[in-house]
Amino acid sequence: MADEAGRMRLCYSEGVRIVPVPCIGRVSVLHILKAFEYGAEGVLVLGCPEEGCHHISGSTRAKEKVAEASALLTEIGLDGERVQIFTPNSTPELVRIISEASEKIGALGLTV
Amino acid sequence: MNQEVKLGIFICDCGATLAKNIDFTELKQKLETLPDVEYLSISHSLCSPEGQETMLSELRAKAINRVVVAACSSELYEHIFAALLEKAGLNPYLLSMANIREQCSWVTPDKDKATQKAMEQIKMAINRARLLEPVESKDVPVNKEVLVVGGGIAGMQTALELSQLNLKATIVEKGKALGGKLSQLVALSPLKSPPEELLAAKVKAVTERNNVEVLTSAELLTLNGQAGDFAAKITKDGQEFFHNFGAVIIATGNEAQFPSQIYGVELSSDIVSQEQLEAMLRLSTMTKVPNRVCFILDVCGEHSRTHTISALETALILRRRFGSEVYIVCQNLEVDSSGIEQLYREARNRGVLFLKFEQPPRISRDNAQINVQFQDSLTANEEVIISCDLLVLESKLLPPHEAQTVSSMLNIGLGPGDFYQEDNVHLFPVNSAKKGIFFAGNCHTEIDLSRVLTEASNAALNAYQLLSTGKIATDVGRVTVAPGKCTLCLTCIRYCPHGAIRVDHENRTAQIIDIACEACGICAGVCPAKAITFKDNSDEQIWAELEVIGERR
Repeated sequence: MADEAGRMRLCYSEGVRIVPVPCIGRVSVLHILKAFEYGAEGVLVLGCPEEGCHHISGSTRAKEKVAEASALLTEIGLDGERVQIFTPNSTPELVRIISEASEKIGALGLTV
Repeated sequence: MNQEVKLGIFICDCGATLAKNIDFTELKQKLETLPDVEYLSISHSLCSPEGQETMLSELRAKAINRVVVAACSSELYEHIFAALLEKAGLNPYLLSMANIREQCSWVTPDKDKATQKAMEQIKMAINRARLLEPVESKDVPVNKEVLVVGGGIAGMQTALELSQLNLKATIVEKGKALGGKLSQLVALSPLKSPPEELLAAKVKAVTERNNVEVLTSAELLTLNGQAGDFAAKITKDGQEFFHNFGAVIIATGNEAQFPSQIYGVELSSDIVSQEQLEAMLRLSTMTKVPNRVCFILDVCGEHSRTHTISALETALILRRRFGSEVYIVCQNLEVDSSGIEQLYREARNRGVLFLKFEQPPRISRDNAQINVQFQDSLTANEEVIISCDLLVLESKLLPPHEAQTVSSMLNIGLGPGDFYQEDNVHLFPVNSAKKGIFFAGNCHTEIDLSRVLTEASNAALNAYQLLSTGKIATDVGRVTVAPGKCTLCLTCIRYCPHGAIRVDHENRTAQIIDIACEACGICAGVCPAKAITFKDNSDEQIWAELEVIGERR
C-alpha cells in the first residue's frame, strides 16, 4: 500500500522512513523501543485489518505489542501516543493516517 | 556468515525520471565512500532486459556477496532481481532493496529532501544487506493423493478433474449418497440439461474412475500436518481410520435457512421458500394450481445468483405448466453470470413481470389472499399492492454447519458471514490461508452452478500445481529456533497461525516445520526468550535499519 501511495502521487511528510516487515505480527516491543533509542519521534505500526489478516492473528499480536510499548513509553515519561497502530483499508486512508500522525507527533517534538 | 562483506550497489533512475528530484551524482559520491562498497553503478533501467544483462555480468565478474538494489517497488521486482542473483550463483536471499521511486521520488517534491531520504533509504538497505545470510532451498517429497471433503457437484467435479490430472482423489461425503443440493433442483438453465441427468452422469463418472475413491456416510474428524503431508482421521460407518493426503479441497457447500424474523411471516402451504417451491415442482406435489404467484428477492441482502436463477427458472415453469400470473419483486436483479440474462429475457417475453423496491415489502394476509405492498421504484415510488395466492420467499444462505469446527481444526480463517475465508478474493480465490488447503463451490462464497464447475477445475489445478512433481521446493532454516535459548514455553506453538511449529522432545526445543512455515515472523515477535531467528527479517537487521535514523542527528 505504501508503494500504491507513490503510484497515486499521494505525498506525505518526507521525514517518514518505512521499515518493511513481512507481517506486523513480526514487530516486537524491542523494535519499537529501538526506534526511539535512535531518535525517532514516533512509530506507526501499519498493516492489514484484523479480519483480513493472511496470517490470521498477525494484526492482533501487533496491537498487543503496541499497547505494551505505549505503556512503557508512558512509564518513562514520554507520551504513549507516540506509538500507534493503524490498519487502513485503502491507500488514501493510509496516507491520511501518516500525515495526521506526523503532524501530531511532530508537534510533540523531539524525545531528547 | 564470517566471510567479509562485499557490497554491490545497483541504483536505477528509472529512465532518468527520478533524477528530477533526486541528485544521483551526490548519492554516488557519498555512497562510494562507505566501507565495503565493492561496486556501485547507476543504471537508467535496471529492469529492462539490457539492464538485467548488465547486472548479471557485473554480479558474475565482481567479487560481490551482498546485493543492494535501489530502484522501484520490491513488490513488483524483488523476484526478478532475486532470480538474477540465483543465475549469477548467489543465494537469492542476499538481496536487499530500497524503493527510491514509489516511496521517495514520487512522494517527495523537494529535491534536497528527496535526495536525503533516498540516501537514508539506501543506507538502511545496506545495513540490512550486511547482516543477510543465505537460505538454502530443498525439495521435500509430497504425497500425491488429494482429499475432497463434500460429495456435492463441486466435490464430484473436483474429484473428476483431479483424476484426469492423474492425482488420486478421495471424496468424503457425510450423507448416504453423492449429489448434495443438485438432487433438490428442478431445472438447470445455464447448462441446458435436467439436474437429474447431470447428477446421474457425474455420479457414474466418479464411480467408474479407478483413481477416485468415494466414502459416503463418512466424515473428516481431524487433520494434522502440512502441505504435501496431511494426516486425516476419517470416520466411516462408525469405524475410524487414518489416511495421508498431500492436499485437501473443501467443497461442503452452504445451507439455506428461512429467516422468518426478517419477513415477519412463517412458512405455510401458500407461503413457501424457493427451495420448497423447487421440491413441489420437481415432485409435482402442488396441491392447487396457483393463479397469481409473487416472488420476493433481495430482502436477505445477498443478491444470490443461485436464487436469481432459481426464481427465473421456477417462474418460467409456473407460466408454462399452470399459466399462472407471475411477479418477481426485487431490489436489483443481477444477471452477471452465464446464461442469466438470456433467462431473464425469456421470462419477460413469457409474461413474467418484474418490479423493483427500495424498502422491503410488507406482507399481510387477507383470508386466502396474501398482499405484498411496496413502493415501486420503477414508477416513481407508486404504492403497489400485489394480491397473490402463492408467495415465494428467498432463504438466507448460511455457511456449512461444520465451518466453525473445520476452520479451527485446519487453522483457516472465516470471513464475512462466517463462510470460509479465501487467501485473496481476487488473486487466489480458491486458496485458503493455509498452503495445501483449497476451496471449491459455495462453502466460501455464493456462486451459481456454472461458476461452481469452473472453481472445481481451478481448485483441482491448484492441487496439481502443488503436488504434480512429487516434491515441493522449500526454504530450509529460514526461521530457526536456538535450542540453547528455547525454554519450551510453547508461546510460539500457541501463536503460530499456520501450525508450523512442533516440539522436538529429543532436543527439548521448539522446531519449525519448514514446509508449513509461511514466514510471517509472528513466532519471532512473540518469543519471550528471543530464541527464534528469522534469517531475512532478524531483529538485528531491523535494528540496523533503524540505526540510520540515529545518524541523522
